[in-house]
Amino acid sequence: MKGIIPGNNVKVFGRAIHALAKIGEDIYIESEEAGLFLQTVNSARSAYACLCLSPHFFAIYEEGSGIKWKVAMKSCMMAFKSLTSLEKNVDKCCLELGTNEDKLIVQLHQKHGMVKTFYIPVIESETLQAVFQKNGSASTLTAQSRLMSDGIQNFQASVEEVTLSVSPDKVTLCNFVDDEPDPTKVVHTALSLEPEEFENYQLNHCAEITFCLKEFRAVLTLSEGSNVPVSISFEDPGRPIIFSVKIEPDLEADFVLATLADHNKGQLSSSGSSSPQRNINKPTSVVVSRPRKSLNNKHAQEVVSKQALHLPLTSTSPSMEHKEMEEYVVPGTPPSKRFCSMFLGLSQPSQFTSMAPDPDEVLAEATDEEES
Amino acid sequence: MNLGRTVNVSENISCDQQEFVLVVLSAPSKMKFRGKMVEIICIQQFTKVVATVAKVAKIVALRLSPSHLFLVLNEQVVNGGTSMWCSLSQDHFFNEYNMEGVSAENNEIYLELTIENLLRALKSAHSAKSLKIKLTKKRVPCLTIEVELPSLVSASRIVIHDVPVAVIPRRLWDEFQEPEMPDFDTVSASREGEMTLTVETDLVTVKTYFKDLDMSVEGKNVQSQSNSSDCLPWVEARVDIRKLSQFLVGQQVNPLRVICNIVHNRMIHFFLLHDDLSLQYFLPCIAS
Repeated sequence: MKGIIPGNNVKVFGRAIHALAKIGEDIYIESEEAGLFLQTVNSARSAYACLCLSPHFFAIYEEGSGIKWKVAMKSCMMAFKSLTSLEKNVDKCCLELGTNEDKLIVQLHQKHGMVKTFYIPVIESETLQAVFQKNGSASTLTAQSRLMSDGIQNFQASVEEVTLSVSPDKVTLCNFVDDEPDPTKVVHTALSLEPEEFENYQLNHCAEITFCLKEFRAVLTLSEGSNVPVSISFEDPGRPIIFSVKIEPDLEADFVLATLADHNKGQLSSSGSSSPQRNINKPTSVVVSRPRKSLNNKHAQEVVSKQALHLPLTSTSPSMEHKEMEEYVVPGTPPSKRFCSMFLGLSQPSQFTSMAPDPDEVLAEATDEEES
Repeated sequence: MNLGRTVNVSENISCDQQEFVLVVLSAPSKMKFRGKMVEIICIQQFTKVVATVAKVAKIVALRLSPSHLFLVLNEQVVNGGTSMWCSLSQDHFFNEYNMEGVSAENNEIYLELTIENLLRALKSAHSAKSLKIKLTKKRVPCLTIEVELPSLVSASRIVIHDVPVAVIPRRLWDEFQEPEMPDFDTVSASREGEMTLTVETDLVTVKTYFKDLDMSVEGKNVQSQSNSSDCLPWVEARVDIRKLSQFLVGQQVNPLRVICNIVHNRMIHFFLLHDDLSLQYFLPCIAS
């Protein structure tokens, strides 16, 4: 694979890498005829991002068929660390990746004939396949990035998750307050927006969706820089929420975030954001964004990624998934299991057991249990 | 300051009240507070005052009276013993201001809150159309900050922050009265209007000399002393430099007038005066 990114697109590319870096620790690269695909997933497997750069994004694009490689995010960030320097100094950026090479070569051609070359080691030949439906029965809201970023600025930096409540005449974003720390000592913040502020407001039914703010900020890193709108698609609590960004005409990105499953769905709309009952059923804290440091765990995940990631897309029908999830969720289970709402077909034991050859084999869950 | 001691009070608050109803105590009368600011200058100035207080204090008492708001820091001696007294005239800041205290004869409200929470809530309001502050009963007593922000359409964006507070019971009010001005040995470091700021470490001593400072004649002793000898002894106060610089660097009030009082070997007292607000900071001496 060989690609040359012209100067005006280098900064967009840099921002895309920065956005991915806020989510995962590795980048999965695939080169196809349709373009270059960059994907990442966070360590808890609850957030996934996929970027597609069409061949027109490049000045020259030579497809490298069958290239499916994984490189470390940290190494990539070395090359694209400073966005201002990319914008000011870089005339073009060459990416080169051979089928038999073990390095991704990034060359930044800068002013005054200076060329910086980065050799980024390839960790593995591996790919990532996510199971999610983009255009289901989802509701879709589209808004300018500015509206979103102005909105989330009102939240304290310590806020990890937010709840998006959508009704036909109002959109409310509030911080999700868990049992820990003491909810009576936490500031509750709620932001109300009028539907008129959205460019597109297509709502199938009212919903309250809780997701992580950290990954949402990653989405905005990409979209705000190019000042393009963000589309938000969502269904029910527990089903993934998808943020789509399109930087015309050559870059498309989907960010898929897990949402918190809700068990008192019927009561939800009437009882407000936190009835005591609901709190009891909730996991103590919903940490999807923290990288796991345990080696043991990491190992387990590798196993999972090899086995489960190549599952065919068709293997999970949405309705099945939902049902299984509801059965599985037990009060007091470690949070990651609940929050990883199954869009990757990874963190869900019931799926593993149905698809893995041996039910006693592998599975990150065992490691999770030990850890907690 | 201890949040724990006020816990028993919140138990007394009747729980049948839902959102947007002002706080109700089972005490003889209802406490109510609702204020609205419209002018952006006032909103910003209020935020700056809160930011100044937040630099030196974590938990403060907010005292509401019909004419003034007070932010009070009353640190115990074991924790350093600094104290702060900030007084804001309500009619300068607020366009609407309604309050009802604990009772007719004690028409005041005393609340304890984490000042950083209030500050963060106010940061939403840097370009606000209006700012409402009210006392509400949600799950716990809250100071609800309602910010109306401009939007792209006719309707505004509304941000609501519920900052949890604890109601300070009447019997503890005495701890939050305005500190008495101590008897100053002199109003400045020397009668000639000179002040020396000295920093001493094991390795180095730095002295900064300030000259031709104004002398205001306020302290009791100054009158008698000024009649006596010209060469009065210098007065000295050794204070924690971190706290001093925290205060001086952190202050965003930009007052018209600053008065620095020194009580020999006891404390430094700063008095920041501006149109409709005053801020006093008491910094006790540390053992040399």
